[in-house]
Amino acid sequence: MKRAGHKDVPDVCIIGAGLVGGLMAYELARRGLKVVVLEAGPHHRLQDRVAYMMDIVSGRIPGWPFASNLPERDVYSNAGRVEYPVNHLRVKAVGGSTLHWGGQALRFIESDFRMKTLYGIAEDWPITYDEIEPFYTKAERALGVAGAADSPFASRRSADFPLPPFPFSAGDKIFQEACQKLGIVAHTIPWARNSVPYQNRPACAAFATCGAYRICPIAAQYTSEAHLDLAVATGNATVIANANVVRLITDRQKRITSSVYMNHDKKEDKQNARMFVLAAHTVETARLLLLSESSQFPHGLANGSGMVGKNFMERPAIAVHGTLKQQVYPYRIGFPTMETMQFCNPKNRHERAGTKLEFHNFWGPKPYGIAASSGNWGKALADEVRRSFGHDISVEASIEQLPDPGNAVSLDPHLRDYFGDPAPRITYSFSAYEKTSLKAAIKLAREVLAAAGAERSEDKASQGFAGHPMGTCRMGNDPATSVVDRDLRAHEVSNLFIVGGSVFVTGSSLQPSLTMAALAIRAAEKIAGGNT
Amino acid sequence: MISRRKFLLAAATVSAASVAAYVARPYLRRRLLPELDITHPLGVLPDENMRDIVALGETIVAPESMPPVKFFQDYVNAVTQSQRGFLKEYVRAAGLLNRTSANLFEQSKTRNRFAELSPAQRDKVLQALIWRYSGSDLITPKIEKLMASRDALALRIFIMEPLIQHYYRSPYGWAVVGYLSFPGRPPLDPKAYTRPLDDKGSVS
Repeated sequence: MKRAGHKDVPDVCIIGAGLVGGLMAYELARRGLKVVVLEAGPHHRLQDRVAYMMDIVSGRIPGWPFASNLPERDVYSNAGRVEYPVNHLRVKAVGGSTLHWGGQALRFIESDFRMKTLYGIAEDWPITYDEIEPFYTKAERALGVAGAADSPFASRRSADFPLPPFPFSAGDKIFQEACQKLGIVAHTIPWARNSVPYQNRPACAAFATCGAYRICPIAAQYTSEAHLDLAVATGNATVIANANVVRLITDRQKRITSSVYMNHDKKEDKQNARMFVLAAHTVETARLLLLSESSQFPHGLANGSGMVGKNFMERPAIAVHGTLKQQVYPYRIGFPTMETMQFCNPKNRHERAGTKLEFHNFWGPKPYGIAASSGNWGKALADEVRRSFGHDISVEASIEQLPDPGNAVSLDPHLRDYFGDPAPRITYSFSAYEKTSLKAAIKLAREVLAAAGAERSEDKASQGFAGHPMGTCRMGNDPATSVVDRDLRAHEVSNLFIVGGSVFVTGSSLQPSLTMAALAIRAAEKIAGGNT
Repeated sequence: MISRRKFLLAAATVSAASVAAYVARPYLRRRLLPELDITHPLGVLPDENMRDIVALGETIVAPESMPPVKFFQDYVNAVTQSQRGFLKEYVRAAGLLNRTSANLFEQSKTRNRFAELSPAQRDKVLQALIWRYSGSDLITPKIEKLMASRDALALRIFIMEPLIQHYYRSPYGWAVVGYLSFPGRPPLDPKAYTRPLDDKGSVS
């Protein structure tokens, strides 16, 4: 991808080349707008990905793929009762976190947008499911979502999934029978992964590396590289990698004139544009606004409401593991193929969070994991590996988290990043709502495991996060209580749009990515003047 | 009531033990976790040592899924030429295996090398050096670390465990559990995951 020409002022500067940055770039560029995308991370070439995947799988490269190329830049601190791992599932690179996301592409359900009206808690979104529904359809087509309308708990849809679903795995029969015993309706999972060839990308070949190693070597799984490439191909878009935006500069009319960015040698540059789109991940989006304070915006850009950084949310998740007598044939595909949305909208949702269950039969140690913890060798070790492998299953439950102004991203007063700027500080904790809901989720997961015949399930569930940070720049109709309006335009800065999970008013027990994509496509149409 | 004399004696004993533990800490750390000599240069393992290490590899993998000699050679060469300290450990490991072989099996000068032993004899050499603690609560890695020699521990930690891991990450290791396709190597039929493994233990 070539560097942008700096002399011509583009129509739009997009900060961040992840899921929503890539989609916005294409949606704007195909309508004839000149676009420059600034991405903090490097450009990992797709043609190198098979070899890269082999290095990851073989252990030649330790850890997960696409690790930060500048860790000193990505420092952060925690100040709350619960430690939040910002970098755990975040990728800074062209493609952003889609380079190693799970790929589930679920629509939120209608009630997710109306929590205040229906349950008297949290806030309603300024838009309804009906308003976003056509954009869900567009997002599913853009990402290439493979699914079936077999979930009786999903909200209405105006069009079929563009791709057929992934069928259940052999091991899913165990879960299916367990769910039937408990009166739970299990169904397929919509994936942004090609079940058949789609949009010049191949069908999933079952490399089985997407879940266990977080990498798809052939781009059967969607990454935003697809839309960045399409955007560049229009001739209207340019992507600049390794461009770390550190400030947004405004003029007297309170409009952004340029974004200042640094390369890895700390050389400063700037990109002018008529319009700016902030798509830099929930944490960095808030941080950049706070860093861009000025005499006109003394508390940070677009932060007259004081809401920038506030209401940080995640999808807290637990996994309960069990062991079966029979083989479950794990690791033959990299992702789960069965889940249930039956508990996403409980009647007592005012006191119990929506909960989604996923059934994982790619769990437990792989042969080398068993071998590593053994003191055996030779035939005795081989017998032990055969005996131990393939009997583990897991139920993962993720819950929704309510917005809480106390959960926030702010600027750390002491910790500085590679460029000398204040690092993000995360203040995060669970309310009683999340704590009781997590306990209930663990109980539910154990019931499924018991019904599946698990000989034992671990006493303590693994507590974690789904890697879906949301909030910090919530959308709303009232400038006093929100950062952007229903079209994602900043209330106080007329040429700034904010996209991504940061604008979410509430979370959901369902993955947020498709909603982020749908909102981004909607915002692009607004920016382009309704020209679809 | 404890007497003053007993109290002072107990306090002095605890204090002396604490000081001794503090002084011995660096030694214990080295003892429990052998260190690599990262000043030692990278390089290629001599052929005679390589034969012993290949023999070690053939002893610790599954006999029914034996890789070719090159599998081990390539791995060892990659490690000794890219990670400082490992070449020295491989040479020491070969030396330890040969010394133990000679002690256990009083053979002629030409046949006292580990590589020249039968599979059963190699296994006995390993048993003399390395503890089998799988499945036993009494014999644990921690006890082994305290009791075994530095070179025996280094043999396990720097040589055997990485070789075993490398093997079980490879197609030969996955074949032990009947998988011909596995993460990183897709099956011919992408929908094979919807069916159980076939009776022959291979991917259907």
